[in-house]
Amino acid sequence: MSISIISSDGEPFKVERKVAERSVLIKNMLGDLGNDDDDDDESFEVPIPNVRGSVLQKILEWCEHHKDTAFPDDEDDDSRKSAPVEEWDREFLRVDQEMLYEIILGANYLNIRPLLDAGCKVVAEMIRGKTPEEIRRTFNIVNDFSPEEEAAIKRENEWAEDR
Amino acid sequence: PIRKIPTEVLLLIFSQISHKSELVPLLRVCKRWSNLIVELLWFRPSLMTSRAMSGLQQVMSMNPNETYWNYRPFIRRLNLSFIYERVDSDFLNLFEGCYNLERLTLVNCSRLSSESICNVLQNCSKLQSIDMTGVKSIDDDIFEALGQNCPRLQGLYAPGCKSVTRRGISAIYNSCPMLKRMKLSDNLSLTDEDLWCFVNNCKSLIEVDVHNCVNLTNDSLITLFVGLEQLREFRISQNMNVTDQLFRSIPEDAQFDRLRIIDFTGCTQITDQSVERIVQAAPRLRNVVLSKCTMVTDSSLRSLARLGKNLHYVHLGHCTHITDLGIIILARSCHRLQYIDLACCQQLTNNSLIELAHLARLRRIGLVKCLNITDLGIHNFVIRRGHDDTLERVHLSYCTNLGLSPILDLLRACPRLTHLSLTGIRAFLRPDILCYCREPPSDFNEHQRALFCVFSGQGVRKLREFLINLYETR
Repeated sequence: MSISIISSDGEPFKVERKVAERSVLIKNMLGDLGNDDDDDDESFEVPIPNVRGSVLQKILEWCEHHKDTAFPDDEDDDSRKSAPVEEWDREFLRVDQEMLYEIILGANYLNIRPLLDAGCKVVAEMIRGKTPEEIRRTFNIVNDFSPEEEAAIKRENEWAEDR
Repeated sequence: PIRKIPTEVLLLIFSQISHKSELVPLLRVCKRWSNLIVELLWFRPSLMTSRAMSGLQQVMSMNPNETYWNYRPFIRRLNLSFIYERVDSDFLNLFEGCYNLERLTLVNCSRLSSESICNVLQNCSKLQSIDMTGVKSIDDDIFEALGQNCPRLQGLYAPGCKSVTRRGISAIYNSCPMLKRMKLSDNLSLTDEDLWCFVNNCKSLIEVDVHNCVNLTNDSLITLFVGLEQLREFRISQNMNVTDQLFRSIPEDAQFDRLRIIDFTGCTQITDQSVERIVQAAPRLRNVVLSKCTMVTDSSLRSLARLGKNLHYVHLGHCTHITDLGIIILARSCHRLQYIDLACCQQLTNNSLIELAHLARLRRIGLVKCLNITDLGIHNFVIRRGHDDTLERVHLSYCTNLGLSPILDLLRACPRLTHLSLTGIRAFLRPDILCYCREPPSDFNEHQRALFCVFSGQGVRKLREFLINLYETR
């Protein structure tokens, strides 16, 4: 059985089942079919209305690379959190910010936890250690606080910076 | 742009920033972020230092209408045990109005008044756990406040709650049906009738500690064992009403599969019959404490041996009838023992040590006042256990026949040793060794101070180095 995943803009991607099943969403959809027989050339179409072709291609590239990787248990929050982003993933996620967000959103929708984690870690690293102004510049965020509000928040939360 | 990222994913990103202090700058980025971060930051205010405490105190002292947020509803867990020395009632009063509190930890905050604790509990309908270990003012008012405000209470830790009477106790069992863990030690008001009410109303109880509640008897304790299917830990001690009758009345086919921990310290009426019966009914016991159950003999050890690999922790201090024969049976059957205490079991000899040497997972061994233990026994123990020993804590105080050389063997073989007590052993009471010893407790008298000889942490390391040098330079 081969799987054809259709992006939001109608582009089909043919992949083997193992690769598609890196997405828990797709795995659950296919789970109902049950049949593991790959004797016929029956093709199964999975429409993914939330992810456009160029992003889906990128995500499937990740799934292909990791089709045999054993990831820590979803429930094991600690080891998932502490694990560093592996070199291949880091390289893979070296894309422009828009693409990075779309990969994260796609991984979230398709329920690919290790890819979602890696994406979040990369964004977290872009945030960590910066001043509010630097963060705004990095992410192109508009400051919607008045100077008074910003000062009050700073004053009232400084205590939490004490390690 | 990043605003496309939905809240749940944004929170995932923030959760990757593990240190709270690194979240603080994010509060001022924009309103959307700040409303998420403020909850993460205040969920469990980190009160590890007095500086943080003073800072938080300032904010909490401000009028909530004049701060950017009213921070109180964000606080779900409050732990004052790291700053206990500086915590007083005025400080705790600042947290009145934290109605989303789920956990309140007041360990060692001995200066708190009952009134201040009651104030904080007002409207805390989500409170799940309160730990008042070391709080001196535990009284009926606090228990009533818990009953009135906290119907979801699961954990109640109130050791030393001497002044609590039926008024307070009944408020708990009448209003807190979800109670899972309770520690009500040293309470003289707690009666069989109260315990029956707990058993009837609080079916989820898994942990019961009624240490030193001397008015409880077999009558209620039997219903506790039979009526609470989830019971996992049970501790009672110094209770003369507990007798073999309690265990005789356990139904023949009863199985307490969940029971893992029992502590009957100083319940001196208990005999081997009780131990045999409880092991039959609770085959998965992991920790068994029978210290000062003075009628217990080797026959109990034969029963305990039937727990086999399940038994990890056993305390038999002051069970003076125990002999080497009992230890042989126990050690050969329960090879996963990690903790064994045999203090004052004065019939034990070096032969017991030889058996105990084979416990590969042993981390702590207590042989205080086992007078028949000699240098040869320790020496053979160490040789049999080999190098890179798992032992972490060794208690040999008042084994008065010991000398330096087997202790050097022990120190060499046990790299993980963090505690070694050698109080009252003449060979070690010399200035060049005592200089590595810990400070004696402040309430010791002069005589006790003169005999005190306990090494911990770095002290163990220094003692090891000292003894190695001593013997090598000879």
